[in-house]
Amino acid sequence: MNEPSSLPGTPLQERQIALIDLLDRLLAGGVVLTGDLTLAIADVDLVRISLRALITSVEARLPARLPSEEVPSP
Amino acid sequence: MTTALYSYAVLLPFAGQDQALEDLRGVADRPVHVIRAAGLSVAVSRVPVADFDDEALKRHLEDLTWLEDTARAHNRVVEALAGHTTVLPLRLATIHRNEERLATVFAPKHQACADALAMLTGRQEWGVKIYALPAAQAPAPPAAPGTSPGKAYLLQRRAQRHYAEDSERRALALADRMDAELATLATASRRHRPQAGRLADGPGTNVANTAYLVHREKSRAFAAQVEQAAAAVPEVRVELTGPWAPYSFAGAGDLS
Repeated sequence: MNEPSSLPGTPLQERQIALIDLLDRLLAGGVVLTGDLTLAIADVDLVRISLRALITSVEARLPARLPSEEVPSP
Repeated sequence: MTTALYSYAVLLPFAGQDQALEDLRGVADRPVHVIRAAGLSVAVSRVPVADFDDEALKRHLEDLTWLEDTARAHNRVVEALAGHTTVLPLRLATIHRNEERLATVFAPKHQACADALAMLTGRQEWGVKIYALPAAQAPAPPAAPGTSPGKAYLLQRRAQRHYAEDSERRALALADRMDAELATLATASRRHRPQAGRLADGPGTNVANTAYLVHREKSRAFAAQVEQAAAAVPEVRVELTGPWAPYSFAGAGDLS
């Protein structure tokens, strides 16, 4: 547990927020409006591409669903 | 300087909002104002078009420093407002040419925004992340007498792999169990993609990354529940973040 962040009512700005948690919310949350200058980010693959390098899918790194390899018995 | 409107959030108007925003600086270090658009109150900053048009944004969004500064500034404004009133956060980099354009875009969303604000009133978002611990922490199995170094190595590798698999299974099982328990305290939940990559720097593999919308009155019980469930499974790391403005629940219903 991250103890300091577990206290309800602690103002958020007093704590260091992990960028990755912020980006989860700002790039995948929030109301999406049609913008004028691009800009519905959801429709633009740009951010997804840029973030793929930062936040690659964890799926490829989860070996648990693969069958175990044979190991000689002692 | 040609400017455009950068919008942070729709909000329920509150007494003294002009004073509350006086010293606040938003994206591009610009002051923050509340304007009325299609009968809604919207927090905005006037930003230089040159930094926020199509071309500039494409460039900026690839720049992690710019992205971080902008994301933190956006959150700073949303958080400051959330300390006073109910907010409906907008997605990062929501930009319009002027008030008229903003009102035109909001007009068909008026009712959905009003409904969302009513639903979010008194509620906060919490994040719960569950991690399986790394395989490197696997205990070494005792080698039987006469085991060749090659075989001992393979056995060690197998033990590590099994430990990692077990750790992930335990973490996923805990995630399901906690999700069921926490759902009884939450108004809504939303699963984010598990975190990985170079920004995910904590120990372990993130297997679940869930946001919960929780009434303020239940926040303490919610945090206690997370802590209690986490303590019961020592091989798994649980991280609680928040309270957040309700970012993960702002696109619900007719706003999605």
